[in-house]
Amino acid sequence: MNTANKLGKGGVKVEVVKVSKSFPQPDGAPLKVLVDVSLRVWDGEFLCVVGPSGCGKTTLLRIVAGLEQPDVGYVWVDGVKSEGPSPVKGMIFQDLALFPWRTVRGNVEFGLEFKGLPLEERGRISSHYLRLVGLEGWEDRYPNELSGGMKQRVAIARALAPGPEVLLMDEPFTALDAQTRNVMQSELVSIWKATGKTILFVTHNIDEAIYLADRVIVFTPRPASVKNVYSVDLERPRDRTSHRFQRLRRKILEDMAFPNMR
Amino acid sequence: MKARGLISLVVAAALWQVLADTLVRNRFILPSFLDVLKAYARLAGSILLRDVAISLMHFALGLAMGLMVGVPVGCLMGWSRVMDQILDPLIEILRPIPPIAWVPLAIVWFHLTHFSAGFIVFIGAVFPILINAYTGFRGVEKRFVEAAEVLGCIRGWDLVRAVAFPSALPSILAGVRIGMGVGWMCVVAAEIFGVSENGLGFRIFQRFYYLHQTDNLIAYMILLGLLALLIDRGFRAITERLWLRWRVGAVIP
Repeated sequence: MNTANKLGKGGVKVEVVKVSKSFPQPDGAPLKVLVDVSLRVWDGEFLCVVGPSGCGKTTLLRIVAGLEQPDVGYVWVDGVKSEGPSPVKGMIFQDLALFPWRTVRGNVEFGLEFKGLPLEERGRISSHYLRLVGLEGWEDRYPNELSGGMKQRVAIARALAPGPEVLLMDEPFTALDAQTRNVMQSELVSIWKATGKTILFVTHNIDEAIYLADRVIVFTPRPASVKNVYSVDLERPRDRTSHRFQRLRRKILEDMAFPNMR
Repeated sequence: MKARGLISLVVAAALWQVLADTLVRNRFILPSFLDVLKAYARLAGSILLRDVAISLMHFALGLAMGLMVGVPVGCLMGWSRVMDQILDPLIEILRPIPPIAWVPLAIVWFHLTHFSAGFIVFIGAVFPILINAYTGFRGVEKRFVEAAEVLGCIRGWDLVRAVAFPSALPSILAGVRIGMGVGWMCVVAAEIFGVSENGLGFRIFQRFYYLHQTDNLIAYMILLGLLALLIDRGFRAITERLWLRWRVGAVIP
């Protein structure tokens, strides 16, 4: 794509152009979910989208993943128009959707099986990512036998293994307790640094967004559009209690204090 | 647990023995527990093993056919709306016909052979297997399909093989268990109605009943129950170890 501005580390990785989406409702009136949303994710960037629950963040992510089609607008990923799901766009779902009938290793190798890789190669790659997320020794367990935090790690390893260009994450840490969530957040930053992946992360948790992201995009309530964009130029690892962290947090909270939110 | 389970069996056998010895005192109407044990000893040396083998063969024949037809057709109907709409009326008309009603036709088609008995077992086993495979494929969760798609598993056959089938497997296996239960009843029914010249059901009706050998009859009845129990337990043990290990954590916390 020639429209890719050569900014950041290596240009635009994901470009969302004037995307609108509504869903039909039983009473006939379509429910507008996204209105004229445009945003860019730079190559190697960690971008968080925050917005109130039910505002349409997940829909945006599903459109980028190719699981939904926009009514209006386009999505480009790595210079290619996104028209359906593909292993270029790794996705981690809110409920993770680990395959319960597969072992930890079987889950991580799932995407590799459809790339026509030989068995040893699959084993090598899955071992690499299982080590990266700290799951050595758990390869032969089934998802039902794991704790919430470990399931998250499996989901991350499974999404990374086929080598996606961009990682889409849909509030994956929501179900975790506060301590485990903090651990997973700092590990995700390490994994992001180690792999250099572009990450588009959706959450309703402002604290989480500021802790993780290079930039935070704030969405309005439904129908969602971009309300504000913040650059988070805080040193990593970030101190959640620092003055600058809290100042940014206050700004975003004010952004999200919508008077007529239902 | 095991020892406690034996209590009811021992008490029942004792009551039976007392009842037969004191109240009934007629070996035709109610042979005693010991009479039946003696019958086993007698039969074991002659026809028993052969009858068991032949009934098991009828059972295996019908079950194999039931699996070969029921699983693919059920999966196909569960996966494809079009195939469901095409095949559903046929299945729904054939399904309520009692398997035993097929006996005359089985004899006309296959004569008095093992295939006749196998065919009746097939009729009994195929529908539960088919329906459960159908339900299993219908119930494949969208989130698993989407998770597979974003991992590059996009072609229809890959989705069936890697997502739909493993996710439907518990339901399919439950169907096979039900099918085996119905199939076993059909073995006896088919043999009683004379589609073959051997087997446990054939012996019960065509020989022991006509010859008034009630002790042999009860011995075979209990044997029929025990064999079905053994088949079911064996099937569960094997499938849970091989294919359903992942459910252990989910079902038994």
